[in-house]
Amino acid sequence: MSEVKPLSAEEKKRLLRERRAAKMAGGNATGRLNNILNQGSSVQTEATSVLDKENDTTSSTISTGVETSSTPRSTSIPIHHDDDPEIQDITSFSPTPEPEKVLASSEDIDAMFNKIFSGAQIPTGPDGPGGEDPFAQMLKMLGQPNGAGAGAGLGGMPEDLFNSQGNPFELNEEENQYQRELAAYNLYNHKKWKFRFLIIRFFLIFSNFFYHYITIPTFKASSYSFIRGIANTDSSITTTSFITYFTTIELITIVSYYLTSVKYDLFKTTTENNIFVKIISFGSMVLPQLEQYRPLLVRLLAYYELLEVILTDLSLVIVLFGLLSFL
Amino acid sequence: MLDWIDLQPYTLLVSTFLILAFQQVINQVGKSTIQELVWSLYMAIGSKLNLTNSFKEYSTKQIEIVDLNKQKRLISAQDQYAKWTKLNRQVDKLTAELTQLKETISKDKSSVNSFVSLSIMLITTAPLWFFRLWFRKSILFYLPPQYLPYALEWVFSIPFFPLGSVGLTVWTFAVKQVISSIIFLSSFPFQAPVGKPVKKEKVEEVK
Repeated sequence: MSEVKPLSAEEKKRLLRERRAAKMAGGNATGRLNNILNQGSSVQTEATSVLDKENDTTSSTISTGVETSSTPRSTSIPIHHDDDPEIQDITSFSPTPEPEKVLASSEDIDAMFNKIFSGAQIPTGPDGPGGEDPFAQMLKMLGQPNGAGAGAGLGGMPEDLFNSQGNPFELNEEENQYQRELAAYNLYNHKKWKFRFLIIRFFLIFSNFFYHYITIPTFKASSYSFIRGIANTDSSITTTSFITYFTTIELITIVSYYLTSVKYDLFKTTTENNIFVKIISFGSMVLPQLEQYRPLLVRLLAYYELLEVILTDLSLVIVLFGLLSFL
Repeated sequence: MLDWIDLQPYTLLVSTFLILAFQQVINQVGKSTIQELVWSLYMAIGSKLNLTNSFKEYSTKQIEIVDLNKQKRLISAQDQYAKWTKLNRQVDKLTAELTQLKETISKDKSSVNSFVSLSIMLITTAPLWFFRLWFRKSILFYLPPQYLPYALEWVFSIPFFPLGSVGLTVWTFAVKQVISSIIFLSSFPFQAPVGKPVKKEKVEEVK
């Protein structure tokens, strides 16, 4: 028995070529091509085989009539139909996503994470890459004309802090500098008037106290309770004179201080930095109704400052009585 | 046993006044400033009193390191390799020692800081709490009768003292108010004056 030799690769290639050539020689190349192209496809093509295009010898591209995404873009069809293509480029047929799409999706994920964790890396509008932190966004909400912070500016901030669009974040450095200097000046001015009034009050109270302490022998505090039993028998001494003078001094200084504060807007610095005013500013974002209590709170704070004047003066009287109670 | 604690009302009154005054002054100056001051004092006096030798060693070693680096720069590493390496080794050793000393000094500093904090607390806060607890029912002084209206006398006797008397609660409040006012009066004149800022008007371009 003769042994059947396995075909070599070259021989296989040759046989395939001969079979293909025989088929092509049989004609009806276009029919066979359309049969192959229309199998399992909803797209009906009317392609013409290059073999049937006798005149067109230069073009080797198959025209399908309909451009599909699966059409090979870089596959070179050999001019000589019986040769195998030199390079079998099948990459374009593979269903792998395009690199641009992969990149875009990864960027989307990054952007999503940035949005979640920092919220400051995503461009947010015409200003370019947004550096808006949550605090800035809260302030922006406050500054909205119809929003929670409507009307009275931004949490006690002056109206001129905003630009024409009502946006406090587009202020230039010069404006910021001016506002800082103005705040420092207001604070200094407030302290200056407080200092002046304090000197006057202390001087008057000291004078009133020591005048009575020196002239009236019973005008003395003591560590011992017997002092409460000593009644003033001298009819020439008016026991109410001390409190009368004290009340007069208080009334005059408080009214003067109030008028001065109103004139120079001194209460503004007290209320601006107050914790309760700030709480109302932030709380009004959640509960806009809180905003209506702001004027009331500002007024109460102004009155509290006046009350503090009285308390300080009474404290001075107590301290003087106490320190001189060694009898 | 605790008879010595039975202070006279006036002694208690003056002690409270002084403690509160000290507390207000410390608040004004700042604890960190006092800590820095004590640390500088410790550095200056500590070595002399043999409390610590770290600063002396540190400064000696620093001088040595500067000297060695100078010598290293004077010779060529290629031509006198052995000598240069020897010097380099010495510098490395000294640097390691300096790092260790630095750690010791920083530990010293933190202990000095804690000591200062503890001292401030013991001097200012602890006695006040003790007074409030121990002398909560003590009357510090009695006001003269008839000179102040009933309402005021009632307010001064808060929380539960007899009418016309003053206790520790009102005394502490009053002293705090007065001392803070005195501190303000004495510190404000030294504050740098702030002038009114002038707003620069924007000049619009005329086309």
